[in-house]
Amino acid sequence: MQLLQQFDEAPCFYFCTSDNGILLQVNETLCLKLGFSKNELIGKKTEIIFPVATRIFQQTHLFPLLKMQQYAHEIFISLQTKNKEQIPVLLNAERKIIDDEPVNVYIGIEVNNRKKFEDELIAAKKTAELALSENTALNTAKEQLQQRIEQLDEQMQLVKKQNKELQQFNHAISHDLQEPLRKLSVFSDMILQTNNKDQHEQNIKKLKRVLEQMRSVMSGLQQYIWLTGNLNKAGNIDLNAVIKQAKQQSESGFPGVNLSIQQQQLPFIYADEKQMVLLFCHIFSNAIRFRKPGTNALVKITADSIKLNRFQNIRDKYQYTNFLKIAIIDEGIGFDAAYKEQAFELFKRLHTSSGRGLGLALCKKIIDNHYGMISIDSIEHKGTTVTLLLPERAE
Amino acid sequence: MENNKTILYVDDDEDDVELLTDAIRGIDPKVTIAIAKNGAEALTYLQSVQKLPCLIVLDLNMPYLNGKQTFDKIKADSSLQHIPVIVFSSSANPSDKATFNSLGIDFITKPHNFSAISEAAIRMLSNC
Repeated sequence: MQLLQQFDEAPCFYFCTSDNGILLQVNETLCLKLGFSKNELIGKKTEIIFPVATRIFQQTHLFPLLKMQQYAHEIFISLQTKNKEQIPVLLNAERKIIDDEPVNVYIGIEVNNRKKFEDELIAAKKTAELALSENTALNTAKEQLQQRIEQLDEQMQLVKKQNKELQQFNHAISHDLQEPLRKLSVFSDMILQTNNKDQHEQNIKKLKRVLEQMRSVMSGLQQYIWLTGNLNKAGNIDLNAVIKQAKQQSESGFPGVNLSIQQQQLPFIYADEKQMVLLFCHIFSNAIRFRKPGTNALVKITADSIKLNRFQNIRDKYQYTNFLKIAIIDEGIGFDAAYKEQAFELFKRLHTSSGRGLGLALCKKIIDNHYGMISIDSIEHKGTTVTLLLPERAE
Repeated sequence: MENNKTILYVDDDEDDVELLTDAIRGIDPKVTIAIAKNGAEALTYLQSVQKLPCLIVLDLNMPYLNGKQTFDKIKADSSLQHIPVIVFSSSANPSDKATFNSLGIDFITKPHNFSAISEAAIRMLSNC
């Protein structure tokens, strides 16, 4: 069979085969590309131009498809040259009957560029996938960083708090312990220098009072240290029983004084009982110490359950949980509320008359140990309210 | 010495108030000593009194307004800033002393013996 010259040299590959895989016709373009002469191909098995993969594909897919539907379009295969190099080719195939014999006709074009584009696309896809996975890793890292920032914030708050406490502690050591020492020195000087018996006795009384002050400062510092180093021995405790104990203890510090308490039934809370007794004892002692002259000491206690954000240190973070709000209200002499923030500082006294300025610092420490909040409000000559907020947590 | 002089002594420590008052009166019985227990009381006194004191003796460690805060308020008030101030404190903090000395303010450390209290009183009266 002779091909038209135009078709022989057309810019496409042409070949046809019999059903048993013999090459019947090839065009010049194909021969040129594969490096064979027509004679080397015609009458040979297609294996000569089909590499192994193409052979398998031809037998399992292409040929059955051709037999079934008489055509197969846009089939991507490889042909091989005389030098066994592979050339990617896009084929259209049709099955025709010529002279009563089935003939399979193939037209193909070389698709080197398409292969290159495909390779580029695959490479780009891989890059994109890699970038995406790196982005996921980055996001995870970001989230972890955020968590660390939150932890850092809490730690910083803690360090700040501890630093402040340390400063107050230093002040207590340098001032509140030095002061009685200095006075001891002055009063003992005076005792040595005077011969007057009355003066002598007065000076000794002063000396004893200063010693008592010193003892009280020391025991206060001891309590403070005990509360700093002491982990909560928490359990479910009855607040009513705590109040009862605290009342007895605070009254024992003021002989002859009876503290009246008006209270509603209080709930059980999860807390350290000893610390809670100490907390209420200090608040009650203040109510007794700073009652109006000539009046009986009286406190009212109220309790409510409220919802509060449990995140106190981190901005823009909210989780509302139940808190027990306890208010202890007295009708004592009160103090100027402008200075209420100082009330919780160690050895800070807002009244010069009595007290060592320690009770509320200890109260704050106890409340901190229980992850709660404490605040104080006061109106001079009207009375003082101490408010406690304790998280309601189960065991 | 001029008669009817008044010294304002601002201190929350009753022992020191008694000791210094006795010492000043022992030297000059005619001096009036006004006592304020903290800075807030001192400012109230200064704003209400007709005849201003010739000297203000300031303790540093006090509740409400402390000595430094009180000092700042006095010096910021044009009607009070001319009154001489002596700091009388047991503060062991060297920066406290340096701060006041740099402002030209006499800083007397509260004495550890009885005779030094009289010396402090003499130093105060010489500023009055």
